[in-house]
Amino acid sequence: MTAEEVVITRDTFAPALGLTDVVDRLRNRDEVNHLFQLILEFLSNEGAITELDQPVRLGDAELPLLLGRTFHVRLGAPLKEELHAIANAAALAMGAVSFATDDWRGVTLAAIVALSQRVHLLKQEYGERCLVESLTEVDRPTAEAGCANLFSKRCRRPNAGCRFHVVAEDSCGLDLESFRSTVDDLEQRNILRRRNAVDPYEYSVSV
Amino acid sequence: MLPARPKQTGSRRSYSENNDSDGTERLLTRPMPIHTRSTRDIGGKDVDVIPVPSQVFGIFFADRGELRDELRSATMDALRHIAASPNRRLRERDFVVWVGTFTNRIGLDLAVLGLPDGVALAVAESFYATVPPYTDLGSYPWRDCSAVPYFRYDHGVVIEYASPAAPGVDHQGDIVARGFELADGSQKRPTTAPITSFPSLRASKLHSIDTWLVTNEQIVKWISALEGAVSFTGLRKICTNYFGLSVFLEPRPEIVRLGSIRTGLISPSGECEVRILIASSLPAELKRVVLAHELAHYALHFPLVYGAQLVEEISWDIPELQLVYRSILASRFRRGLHDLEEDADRFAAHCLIPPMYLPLGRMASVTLEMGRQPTGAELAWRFLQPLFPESGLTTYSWRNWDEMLSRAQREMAFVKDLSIAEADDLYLRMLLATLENEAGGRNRKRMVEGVQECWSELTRVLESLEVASTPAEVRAALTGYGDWEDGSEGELFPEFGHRRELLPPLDETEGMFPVVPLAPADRNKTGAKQGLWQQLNEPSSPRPLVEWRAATADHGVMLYFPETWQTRRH
Repeated sequence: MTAEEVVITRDTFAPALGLTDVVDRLRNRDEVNHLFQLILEFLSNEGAITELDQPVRLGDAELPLLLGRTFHVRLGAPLKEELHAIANAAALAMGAVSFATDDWRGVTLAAIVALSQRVHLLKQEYGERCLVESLTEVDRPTAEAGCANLFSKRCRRPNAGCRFHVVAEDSCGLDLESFRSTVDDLEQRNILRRRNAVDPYEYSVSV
Repeated sequence: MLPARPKQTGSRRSYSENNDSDGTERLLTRPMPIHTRSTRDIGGKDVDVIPVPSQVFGIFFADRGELRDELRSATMDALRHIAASPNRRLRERDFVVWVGTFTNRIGLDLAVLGLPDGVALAVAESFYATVPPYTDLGSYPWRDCSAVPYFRYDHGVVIEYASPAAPGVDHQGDIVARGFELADGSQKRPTTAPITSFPSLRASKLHSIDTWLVTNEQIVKWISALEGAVSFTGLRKICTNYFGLSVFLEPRPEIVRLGSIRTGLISPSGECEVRILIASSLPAELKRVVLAHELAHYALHFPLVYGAQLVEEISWDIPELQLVYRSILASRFRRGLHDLEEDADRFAAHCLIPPMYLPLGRMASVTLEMGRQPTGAELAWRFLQPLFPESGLTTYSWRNWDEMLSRAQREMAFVKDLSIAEADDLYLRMLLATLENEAGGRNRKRMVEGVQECWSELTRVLESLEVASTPAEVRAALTGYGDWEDGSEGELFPEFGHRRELLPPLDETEGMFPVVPLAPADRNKTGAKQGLWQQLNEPSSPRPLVEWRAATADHGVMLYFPETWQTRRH
């Protein structure tokens, strides 16, 4: 299978690498910057990226807009899939920490790769991946808020064969009791952790 | 202090509609209706989908422990009073009551009960009669109040909004419990201003130095009259309809990475078409920045691009001319393209924060926030935030004021020692340029003189070439221009290469595509072809190649690479 070749800059990396859905979940520029650096590091480790020179010189019959760093990326389908998983894990990890404390700067590639492997084990057919994502999207990541963010809304992964997929309405049927049970299970598996000691408990991804 | 009189219903402000589809949202003259979601919430309750208002009319209270219970009772009493009113106009209405918190300018936390902005006086008075003593009244942005739906009055039915897990149980028989969902994006602040002034002339699509002088003036006048950030769609229309510039969206990164301005072939009368290519994968907000940047290159540096095109065409016969031209440019612009890029960025930033607002220090000098006066640079930073997709992810208000100040200071400190060449993204480029404009801009005298001198010198070179008829005379005419090294006797200058990658003209119907030589693998003194020809670039993906007639023995086969919009025409 031939590899896809794309040219990316800081501004164009999301659509070029198929990561728009991940970047849309980030909260601010700092997180997008951090994700970009993690992706550069990951692709560099995979030997899939080279930095490009300026394509034109003064005196050519065109004047382009030049940015500081431009990269050429070669992506086979497996690497593209792995890249999306890494980016997804990075978004989850950054969603678990606070801008105010700058904890996300400690979200390293090694930690992301480890998290990505744990996230990969999440069972989509039991709604686990959607549940984890939902908790990173709500302001107060309690079971109730996370569940309300999913229940009766359009199913995010209709092809996953999830037991909570209400096929007739293509919506999510993950009720609060099931949500709480799944959260407890994910906590035991060290994928989620509690952030506070008092009910209602808030949860975040364990990085 | 007397309570402020709420606005009468029926006299709402109307906003101009902006029909741009590039992320500019309309402000509607009427709020979107509330509708019931087809699915229930986790507690089994019906769910109202409620559009977020831009403003609420707030009744503010000093926050204390028992306040919430008092507010709840007071709201229910007020709504019951409205439901029982003999006045049909008062009874027959539908509105949401919001509840939230607000931190005022001296740091006091207040509770707020929010009524619709412009609520009828009779409705407000029903609340004044029941609520506990309040500290203030007034219209405030919804976002500043962290408000959520509290109750709804719907034509005699009183609805209380409960948490998703709460059961759908009626309270006291006459109040219905429901869930709520806020409708995203129903009303957002616009990020562009409508274009209200237009250039007085429409430029032709054929450009020369003489026509550019006129169009340039129009561009500067038009930008000076801008009243707000211009949208990509609006700017594109102005470029096409008034400045004679064709703007194309290009999907292939090997053709253009972000944006580029290019000329077509120069006609015998000395005119050419000019086009701007923008990467189609960019979001609209960034397309706007790229287009503004390329427009700036046209306005400020067109003679350089036109001169380069002229040199390119002449160099098919006199290849050394290209080296001479590069040398002329290098002597005037020591930092090469970076000089031109910074110049264009400062100009382009005016399409985001127009000149009429600068310096923002004037506005800052009459502004007081939390007892502190902001700087002009801080205001420039703030105005820039909603104009970019990433910086616009966070909406700033009194709630996250400290975060905003901290981020503004951090970013301005970061760019302080950054050069244009080091900026990795368009936001940083525009922030740098905006802060420079706010500080008074840079003296453009060197750039203006540089462009003029380059054009004048090129003209002199071309005039001397007109009378040269042998290679020796050509060489003599070119010697003395620039500081490049001469090659060994009898040979052309060693840096010369036959390599060409030309950009085809806009008008394809005549088939007037240029002939471009390949780089010979082994070139001899007379220029005769020997060995294999090498293609100019290794293509990264298959692209159409059109082989044209071989012009002369020392030129060989020539290639051009059509842009996507051109291939669509075939």
